Amino acid sequence: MKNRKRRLLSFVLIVLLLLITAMVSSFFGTVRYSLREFLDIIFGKAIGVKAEILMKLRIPRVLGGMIVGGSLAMLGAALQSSLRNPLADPYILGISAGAAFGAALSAVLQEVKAVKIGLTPLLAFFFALLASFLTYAFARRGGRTPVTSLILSGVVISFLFNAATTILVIQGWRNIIHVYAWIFGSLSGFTWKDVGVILPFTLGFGFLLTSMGVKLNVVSLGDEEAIHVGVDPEKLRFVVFALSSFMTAVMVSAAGVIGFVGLIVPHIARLIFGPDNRTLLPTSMILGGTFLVICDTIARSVFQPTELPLSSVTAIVGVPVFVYIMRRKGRE
Amino acid sequence: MKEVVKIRNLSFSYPQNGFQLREVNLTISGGEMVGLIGPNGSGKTTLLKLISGVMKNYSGSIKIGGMEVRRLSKKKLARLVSYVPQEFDPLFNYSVETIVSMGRIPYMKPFRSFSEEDVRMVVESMKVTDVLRFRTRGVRDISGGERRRVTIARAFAQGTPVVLLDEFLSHLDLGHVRDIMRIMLSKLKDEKITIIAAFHEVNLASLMCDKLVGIKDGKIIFQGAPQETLNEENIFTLYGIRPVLVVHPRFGKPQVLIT
Repeated sequence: MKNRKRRLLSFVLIVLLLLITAMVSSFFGTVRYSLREFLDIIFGKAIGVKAEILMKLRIPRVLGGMIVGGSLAMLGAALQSSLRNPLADPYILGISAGAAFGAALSAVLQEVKAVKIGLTPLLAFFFALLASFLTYAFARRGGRTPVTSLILSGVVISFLFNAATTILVIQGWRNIIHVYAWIFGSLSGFTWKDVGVILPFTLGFGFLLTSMGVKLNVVSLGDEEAIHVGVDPEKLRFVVFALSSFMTAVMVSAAGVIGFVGLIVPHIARLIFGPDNRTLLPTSMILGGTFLVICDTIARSVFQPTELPLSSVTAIVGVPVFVYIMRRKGRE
Repeated sequence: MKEVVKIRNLSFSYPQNGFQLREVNLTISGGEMVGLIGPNGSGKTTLLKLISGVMKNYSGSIKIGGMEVRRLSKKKLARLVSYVPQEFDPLFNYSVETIVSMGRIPYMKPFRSFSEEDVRMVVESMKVTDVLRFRTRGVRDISGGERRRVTIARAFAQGTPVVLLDEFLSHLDLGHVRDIMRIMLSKLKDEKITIIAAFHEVNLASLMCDKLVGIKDGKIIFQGAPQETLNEENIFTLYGIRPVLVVHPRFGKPQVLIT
């Protein structure tokens, strides 16, 4: 009972943390705001260029950080559980690289062959799905997916799709800055429209995956354990892969490839709330949103007016954590 | 008693290493406890995994309550058979209660959480196995014996007529062995479940079981009551040793002594 109370309190705290982070981070950037200005604009008492920038650029961008970070962390948690692999996430498994290739391909097609827009998420989804299944198929040996071989195969698939993307960049060189943003991640172009498109998926898939939390728990114990209580592990993994590929494709189309959020945030959530996927998925989402909003604030304010690629910020935090988890848990 | 598990001409081979289970015939009645004994790698665990539906590409027939295992869905099968694994070493540190409630997954409806009945079964089985008092602790933080009781509690929560145990008394100290034996035997007596257990220890199998099945190189060598089957010749065929056989002074069951 004491345990449950403490967890509830922690939950309230991380929600507050997310809200405060979101508000405070919208003060920072090329244009800065004070709390006073912020509140005046929000409540419609102030208008002008600064108000326009806040409402049309800054706020959707911060919301984008919440949505993308939250989704990536939640998908990372679901992938880690369903694959029994503490190092899994859409980035490591090559899903993001596949999606980026699809998005880049669509950009080139639009440029060269004048194909209509609307193709981007579709192609991104197709290649994300292809990448995730290739990674899984390469790593699987005799009914098992060893931790390290999954990572290796994810790296190889990432190389493959990144190489293909680079070739496309050179082909369609006029689009180079656009494609660059896809490869290294940026929330600078996140619009209210993106928020409207992606948020329902984030919440819907979040609910769907959380409702499968008990099944994710048992699959994370092993395939035979799952079968013994009537859960088909392959079917569950297929669902998680398909949802992850779709979600990653949508996010890569809007914000590019962002690494390490899906990897490290679930571990932090597990430390605070335990490994039960019914609580792990929603709390990873909240913490992931907070984490990416902070990273994006660093990316746009530290070296302003120059913006850092978002993945370079997440990597600086993510790589040490990755190494730590690998050394501690990669033994199996 | 009526037949609960009926195995006819069961054969199976692993594609990876060529190990085979050959022409197994076995009939198990309701309320019986059957012990599978034999050397390491003889096929005891393989037989359990076939009954539990982990591998369905067998030839011959395995029927539980008259239904062919191969044709049953995973969910339906999980309402008939539960399984206590030999090894239980989860990657993530779930709480005892979370692990035990997994036994109720076969009864869950989509998008619903556990029902009152589910919660009742989980608490009841944690009581019976004496794990209730540490139910909020992580399974990685408790001892091997306690962990074994947790997996037994999960199998009980599953509420199945057939329970499979894979070397459930191995790697435990005597105190835990006796506790778990008692838990099993009282469950067997109270609820008329059928237990099929692979044993590492012949003497414990003899004490607990109504029937012993000797397996070697994927074939059944003998089957029958411990008093009838545990003789010098069968022990020699199974393990290649010439033992001394004595009768347990309390339980009247044969016990094998190494010479």
